[in-house]
Amino acid sequence: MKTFTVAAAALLAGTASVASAQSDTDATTPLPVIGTVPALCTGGTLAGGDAFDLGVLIDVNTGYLRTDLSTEPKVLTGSFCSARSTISVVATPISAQNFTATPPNGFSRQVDYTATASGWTPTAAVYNTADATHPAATQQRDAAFTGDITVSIGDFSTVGGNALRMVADPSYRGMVTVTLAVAD
Amino acid sequence: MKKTLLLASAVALAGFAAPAMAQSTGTVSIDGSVADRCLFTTDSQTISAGELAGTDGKLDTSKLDGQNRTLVGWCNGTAATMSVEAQPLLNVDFTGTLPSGFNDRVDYTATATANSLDATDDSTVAGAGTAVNVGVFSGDVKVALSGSTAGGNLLVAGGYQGQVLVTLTPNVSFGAP
Amino acid sequence: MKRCFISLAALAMVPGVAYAQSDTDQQSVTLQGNVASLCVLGAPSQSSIDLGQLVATSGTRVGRIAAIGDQHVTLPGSFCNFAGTALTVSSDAMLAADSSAVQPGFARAVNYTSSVDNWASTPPTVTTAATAGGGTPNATGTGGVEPLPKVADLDLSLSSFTVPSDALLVAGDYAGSVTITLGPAVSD
Repeated sequence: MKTFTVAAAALLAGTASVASAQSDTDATTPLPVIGTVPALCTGGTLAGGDAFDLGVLIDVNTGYLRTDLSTEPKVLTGSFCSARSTISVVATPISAQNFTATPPNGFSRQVDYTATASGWTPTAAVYNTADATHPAATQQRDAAFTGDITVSIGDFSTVGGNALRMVADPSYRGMVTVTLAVAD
Repeated sequence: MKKTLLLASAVALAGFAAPAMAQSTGTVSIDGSVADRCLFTTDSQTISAGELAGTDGKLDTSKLDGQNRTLVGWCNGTAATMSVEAQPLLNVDFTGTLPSGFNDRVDYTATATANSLDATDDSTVAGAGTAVNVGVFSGDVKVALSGSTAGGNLLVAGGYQGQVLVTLTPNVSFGAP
Repeated sequence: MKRCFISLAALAMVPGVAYAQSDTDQQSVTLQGNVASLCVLGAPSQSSIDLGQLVATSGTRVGRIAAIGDQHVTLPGSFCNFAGTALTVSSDAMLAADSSAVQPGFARAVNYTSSVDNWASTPPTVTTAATAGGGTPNATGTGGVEPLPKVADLDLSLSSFTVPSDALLVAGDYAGSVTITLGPAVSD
């Protein structure tokens, strides 16, 4: 009996045709991990109460608006915007709340002043109630920012001229509004 | 000087009649026989299937199914039979426990065809398949593979080797002398 | 009468072989093949990981990173058909699309931890350590060696989302990435 067997080498070099996708290493394409942060602003918290208390507005001896009116500024702490932003200040004249009729000759019922919001932008935002236009009332910040905003009022004057006396009223009121907004 | 030349001859002398006598005839019969025998006249063959797995890591059945090689042989007796044994392809490189989901052998069916008769064997069953009575023939013995399988599992990397054994058995056609 | 005896070697005419019962012959066809070393990662169950809104929009943590839960991605049917493989994870921190310098109190990076489980006994775990300005965003790590061929469902998990110094995050779209590689373990 004759038996023919041939022992062969285990791997044949050059005879295997390997599919092009096969490899001993495989890697994913990079898996994106994504999310968004909205552009938002928060005005922070107002330290020292929410009212500028000016007290008695007039010199009781003359009846004219005091020339030494002043008050401590208010601070908004923890304000931030996560993107470029604008800060704007709007103020309304300090007006008699009970005496709303047209004052008699020689009298006024309103006080003009300047409201300033500083600390946010290099140039403070300023609004003067006596002005017809207010180009400086809106200022821009070019990047995200966090910081304190100082709101102050000053530069008081009698509406109609300082020769007018103020009508009596236990309540005179003005309003300063500071707005932080994300810029387009 | 006499030289004697001796010619030794192993050849029998047939039909030698006694010389120089009265004519008489002797008969010498010649007996011979031809034993039942089978023989392959070609060398062994090799099927190199190359990379057995597809891109999914499982057996690509097209690598083995349909592969064939032709041997040449003959048998001179009517009782001659042919059988084939399919031995699975086994991984010759991997040692250790076979992990779940993998296989390290490839099974298949081998068919040998001689004198228009088929002998088959399945590699999952040890030993050769049933023999067929090919009888007296001389010519091609075609060996073909089909039905390859790795059980649907991934194949462990490495070299794989198996073989198909074809046996021609003459048997005894006319009984013992 | 001479008689000549001629001995006949009866079978001397027939050369060679004594009468044999059978003369079987066997031939073989050798089968050879090979299976190349192969690693294939399953297709991820998500094509991206979208965390949506990253910051709190009210309360004491307004503008800072919100509490983001663990994220999972599966790579089913990942396999290597040979022994001695390892997983490598490369993660990039999430950075804001705006690359300009950040202001004090702000950051443009979100760091996180990535881990891939179900391969070797020691999973690769990496934590990005980007700075507030987005520097050094990449972290790469390799897990333990798997000693046998293996097929498994891999589990990528992302967790512990933090911001350097817990700063405010600048607005915009944020993007990072995670790349998983499976292949032969590289010996040091």
